[in-house]
Amino acid sequence: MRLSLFIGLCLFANLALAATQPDPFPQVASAYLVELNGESIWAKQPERRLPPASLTKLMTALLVLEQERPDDEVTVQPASTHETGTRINLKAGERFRLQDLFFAALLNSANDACHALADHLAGNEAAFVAQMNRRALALGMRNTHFINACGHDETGHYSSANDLSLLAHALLKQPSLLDITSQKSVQITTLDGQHHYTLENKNALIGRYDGALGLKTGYTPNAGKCLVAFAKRSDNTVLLILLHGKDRWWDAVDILDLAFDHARLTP
Amino acid sequence: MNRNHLAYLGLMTGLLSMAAYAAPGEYWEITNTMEMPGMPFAMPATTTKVCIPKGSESNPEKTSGDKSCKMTDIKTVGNKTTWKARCDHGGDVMTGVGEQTTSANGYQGKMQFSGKSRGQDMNMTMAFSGKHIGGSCDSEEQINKMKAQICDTSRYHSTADWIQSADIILQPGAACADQRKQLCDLVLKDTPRDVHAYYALMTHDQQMGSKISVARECKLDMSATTKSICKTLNDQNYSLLSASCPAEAKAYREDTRRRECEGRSYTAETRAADMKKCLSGKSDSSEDSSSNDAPPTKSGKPAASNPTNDALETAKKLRSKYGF
Repeated sequence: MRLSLFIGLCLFANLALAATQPDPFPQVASAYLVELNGESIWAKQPERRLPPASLTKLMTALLVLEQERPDDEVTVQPASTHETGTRINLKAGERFRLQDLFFAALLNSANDACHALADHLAGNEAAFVAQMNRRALALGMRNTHFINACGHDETGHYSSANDLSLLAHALLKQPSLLDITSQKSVQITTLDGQHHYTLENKNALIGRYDGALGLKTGYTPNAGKCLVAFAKRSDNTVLLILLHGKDRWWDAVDILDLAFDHARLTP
Repeated sequence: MNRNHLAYLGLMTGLLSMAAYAAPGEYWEITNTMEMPGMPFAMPATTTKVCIPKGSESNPEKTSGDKSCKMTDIKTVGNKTTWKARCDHGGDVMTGVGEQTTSANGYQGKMQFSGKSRGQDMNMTMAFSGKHIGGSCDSEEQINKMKAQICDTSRYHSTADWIQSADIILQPGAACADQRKQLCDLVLKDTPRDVHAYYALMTHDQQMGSKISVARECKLDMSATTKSICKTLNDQNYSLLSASCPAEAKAYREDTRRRECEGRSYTAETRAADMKKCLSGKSDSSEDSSSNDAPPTKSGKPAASNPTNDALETAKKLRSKYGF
């Protein structure tokens, strides 16, 4: 009886919290969350489970960074070359520094690079996905479950804006993250020096929006246009999470600007 | 503005309280100078004629006093008096030490404070001196003169001006408490439709971190007021209202973008400017997990990034989006 009362109170508290968050931009996305200096200021359905597309790679990125093995030599396995969607056309047997594949997965959202990282760190993708789910649980991501390492649409592969915020904050504690995600483009080379790849950051805010530092874009037919944007101006930071957005870049620019404006009214 | 206003209020409050201590006394000419690190300019010295009870010139509570300050450890050795002070201005606590030397025809001293004001660390030094003028004086008269000076509403030209001075009307024991109804009537009438009044209210109540909320004191329905004022958002008042009216500001930005970009042709000279105006980001190129975007450059040589191509591509997408 006490337990059910407690659960009921928790549910009520969650509902009350969701109800009190203003939603000034109901049209921009199926779910969104805007945080100013770590505090949520606007949100729409932040707990809703939705396909996160390549925002999934933020968890991949967290596990990679937490391993602290940037100089590992990674050999591309055949499974990575079978990846679909965005890829840099890795060839089986090609060898890279782990950090270079990390750039490809995070900036270019390359699925083959992402898969190669998963294979290298856990032996195979399934084992890596298990690590991802354990880390999600540890972060308190209650509305997240991963089926693959790179963000393909699959039943049971979902996350929420609030959970992605938890993940983003965990990533932001990694000192090297923003140095990477704020790069407009990066060149990587196979260890034998034979092939060079120029990777353009898919985040259109980088280099265009004043203060934009990251973090990740995503798109699949089911997930729609997704974005986790992080920007800093003076002492203010804004984190924006859009799931199934409508017009993601223009909306992101508008919302980031308005959040920085909002900072004027925050003591 | 914040610090100047704070300093002005502090000074006036101090002077008023000094007069308030006065019983039948004598006139003194008092000069105060305040220094605060970080002030954009030095505060000018202020000289005021005040009434101090006879024989109280060596009592710091009466010469440099402020009703919100509590003096302790007052010690007098010869003609020198020292003390400790703790001042609480609406929750902003500052502590400090003071010393004063009394001579035949006057006194001089200084107080050094440190603490927090509106959440920020602040150090302040106030130097003061008093010169005996003589002549008997009446404390009531002094108080009334001071009050008239502080509460003079002829310097207010708008409701925003009233709101900026709301603390001396609304705070407990305020000198101008009798102006509360006048202030609140203006606030209730004007803030839902006067952008400057609304902005002054928001600034006062939120940004300034004031312990006195004009909206609360005047029982203003902020939700309805914000809803009302947000309907007036336009290009003239966008910068004042965008922080409070995100939905309207977003709609305004979309509308402006549509008007500025739609139908616009571009040339090599104007393309960059058009892009900046029309696209703070860029048109979407949906990427990702299972899209079939072309892969990035792979070659035997490093490829250079090409901003011109970026611009062209974005402009093309813009053109296709708006049909020009």
